[in-house]
Amino acid sequence: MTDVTAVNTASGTSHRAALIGAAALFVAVVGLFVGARYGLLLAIGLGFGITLEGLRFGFAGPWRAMILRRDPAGIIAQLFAIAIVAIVAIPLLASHGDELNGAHAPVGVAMIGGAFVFGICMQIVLGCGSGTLVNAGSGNPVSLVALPFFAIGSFAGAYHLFWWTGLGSAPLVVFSGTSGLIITLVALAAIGAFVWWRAAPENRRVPRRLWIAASLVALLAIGNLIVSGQPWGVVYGLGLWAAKGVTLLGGDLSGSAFWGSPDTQNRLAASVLTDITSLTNIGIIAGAALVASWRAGLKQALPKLPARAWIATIVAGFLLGYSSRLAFGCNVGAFFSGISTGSLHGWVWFGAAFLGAVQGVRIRPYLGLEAR
Amino acid sequence: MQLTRRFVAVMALGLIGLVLVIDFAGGAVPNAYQAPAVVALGSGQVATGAMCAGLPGN
Repeated sequence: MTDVTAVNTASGTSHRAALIGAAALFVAVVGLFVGARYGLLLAIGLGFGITLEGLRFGFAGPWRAMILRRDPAGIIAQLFAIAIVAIVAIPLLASHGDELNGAHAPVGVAMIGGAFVFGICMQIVLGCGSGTLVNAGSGNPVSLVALPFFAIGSFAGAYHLFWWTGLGSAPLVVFSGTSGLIITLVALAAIGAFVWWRAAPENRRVPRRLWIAASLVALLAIGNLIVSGQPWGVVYGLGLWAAKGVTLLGGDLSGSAFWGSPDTQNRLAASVLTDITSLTNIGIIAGAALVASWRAGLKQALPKLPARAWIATIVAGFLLGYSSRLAFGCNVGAFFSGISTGSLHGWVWFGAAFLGAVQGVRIRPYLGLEAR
Repeated sequence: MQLTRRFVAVMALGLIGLVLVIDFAGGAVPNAYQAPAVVALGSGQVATGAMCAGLPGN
């Protein structure tokens, strides 16, 4: 080993030790000064960020791979992760219904439309709820620009949510207990088999990396449910951040049935470090940044994109937030957590968002975000 | 000067910092002595956290 190599190795080791130390310190400070549960949730969020970025597990990219190349690997991994969570979550919700809540919401007109629009937009910016956080943390400029508008959109969507739900909703349908678990697992297996059947023969394989990632994401999602009492989500926290900004600037939210409600006013007055989705969101961004820095993957120059690409990013970012509130969640809160806790709306979200994603894949090249 | 992904990552972390600053500026100070049980499961406490699928009051 030359002197230069030895110095570089020592520098890399100390850099990585500093990253681990900073993450551990952040968790310890939150655990100590805010509460142990909140420190644990931040650690779970960091785990999500590290896993999603470190093992390249996502949602928008795999859907795009299936649409363009009939590559089923990522979607199979998603369904596998959801199944693991369902096996634990659905029985736990049946036995501990007071302590734990599922991601249960009704199917409705606005819910379906919101999921469809979300599907379009997640393909335009190539980032879903979790993906936008991960990508921003790992140095993707499109996601960084989309993120604040995602938050503003989430705030605005929640502001108008009761008007949208007033357009019509079906009664809440939840697959619960043993029969609910069986229905959920059979449906996941059926979708998996269909995707496998539709896949290009040369793509019919799932890399080991994705099996590991899916298992880790599932364990973290189960941890999120057990520790916080509710499933993994993303969008609510982003809207809360924007609402806090509006409040600080003197905005009056009393006119909104959502933000003006006593429950929400209490949450607006409380620290974001006590908000479950805010903590995991913060952890995801920080965890992704940690991995990117660990890999020395932040030296790459930023791409040069035309103005229309940035305008499209801002509009799509806003619509990601707005539509996901109407849809009662994004790919995480509705698709992943909805299905894994037995909510019918998660299945409907999946169908509507996938149809939207097909359109989004077609639209994206015209917006200057990739070569035509 | 050519900007790199490091700049974007730092900005993303800065965004977290901005959220925390806005939070503290709005007077939201956490109190560890009012924190719930470490783990919700088995705590006997009713889950009250807000999430994407929920509506206020439900």
